[in-house]
Amino acid sequence: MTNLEKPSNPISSKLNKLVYSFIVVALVGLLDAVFLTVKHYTGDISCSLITGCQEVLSSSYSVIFGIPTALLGAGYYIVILLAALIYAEQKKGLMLKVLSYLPTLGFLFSLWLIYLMMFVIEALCQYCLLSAMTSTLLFIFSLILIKKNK
Amino acid sequence: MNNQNKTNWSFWSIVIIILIALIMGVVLLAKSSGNGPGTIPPQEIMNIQEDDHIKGNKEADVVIIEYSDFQCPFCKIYSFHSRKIAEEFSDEVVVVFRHFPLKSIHPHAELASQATEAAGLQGKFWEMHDIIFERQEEWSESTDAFGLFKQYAETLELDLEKFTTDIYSGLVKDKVKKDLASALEIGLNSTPTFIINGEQINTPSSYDKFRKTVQSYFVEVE
Repeated sequence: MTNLEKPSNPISSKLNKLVYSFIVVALVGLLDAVFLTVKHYTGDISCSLITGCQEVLSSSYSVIFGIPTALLGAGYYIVILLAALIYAEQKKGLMLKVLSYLPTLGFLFSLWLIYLMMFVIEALCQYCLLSAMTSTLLFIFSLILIKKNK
Repeated sequence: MNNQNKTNWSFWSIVIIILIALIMGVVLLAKSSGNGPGTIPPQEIMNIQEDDHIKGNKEADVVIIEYSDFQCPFCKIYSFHSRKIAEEFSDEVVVVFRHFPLKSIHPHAELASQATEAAGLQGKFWEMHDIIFERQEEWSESTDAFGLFKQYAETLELDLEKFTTDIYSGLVKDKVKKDLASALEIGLNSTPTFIINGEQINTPSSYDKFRKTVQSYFVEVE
């Protein structure tokens, strides 16, 4: 029998649900970030009506210390995803700490990127907005998690 | 009670396999999306229209339709490519230029199209087309694109008064709108888009690849 199926009290079942939410949202964020990373490297050879991703991904802000922002995002989501998976599987308390505090950093970073997109680059990229949404959701989950653990 | 610290290998292998599969799927998607071939457009749009601007041999078997936006940097690059194609294969191909100004991201694109059409009324569509692409950076960033277009018209020795009236005339606006409508009708959403003999092609990444793609249609026709 795995831990996932272990009968548990209502509080820990709620916690499990929260951890699953972390997994789902981090997975969406990860895939989105991978998509953006590939787009950053391949570069489009067209101007598109659909997104302003071309402008955003080719701007000087798309690289931080030589690393594409999208790749940093992918790294962030993979850490969250693994932490949630490890917790779901092994119930390691340290992972709960990661899930509680790391999303705050991700959220703040995301706010900065949104600011850059809206006021500096002045182009909105849908995939970047999706990433802002997932990082905001993760932040909300982390707040719930902190509250639960108090 | 199972051992909580023991690694559950089957769980992790499944997780890793799913993750790798998903990531590979997304990578492939990202590589292929953007300007892939769409559906086959209606024949009437694919035929050369009377008011189309063309280069090359009008009777040629290979018809290349270029949907372009004067404010799009990629369109600038590809305008040089298509010009070279039309020059190199002046007997075998005809290049048709159509306007597809992406107004939502390029505020001056439509006016630039109108400027070329207004020049066209004085027989200098291609001259204006070239100068507008060549000086794209200059007018794209300017708050007075119209003033710059007028300067270009002056350089081309156009009748300035006529040009100034024509650029905002119904005739010119309608022509640009007609091209734009045809682009939207066939479901285009990015520029430049090239359609060769009715087939939307993946925009080739270099002139050589473009040339090869065009040549592949020669074989087909023969």
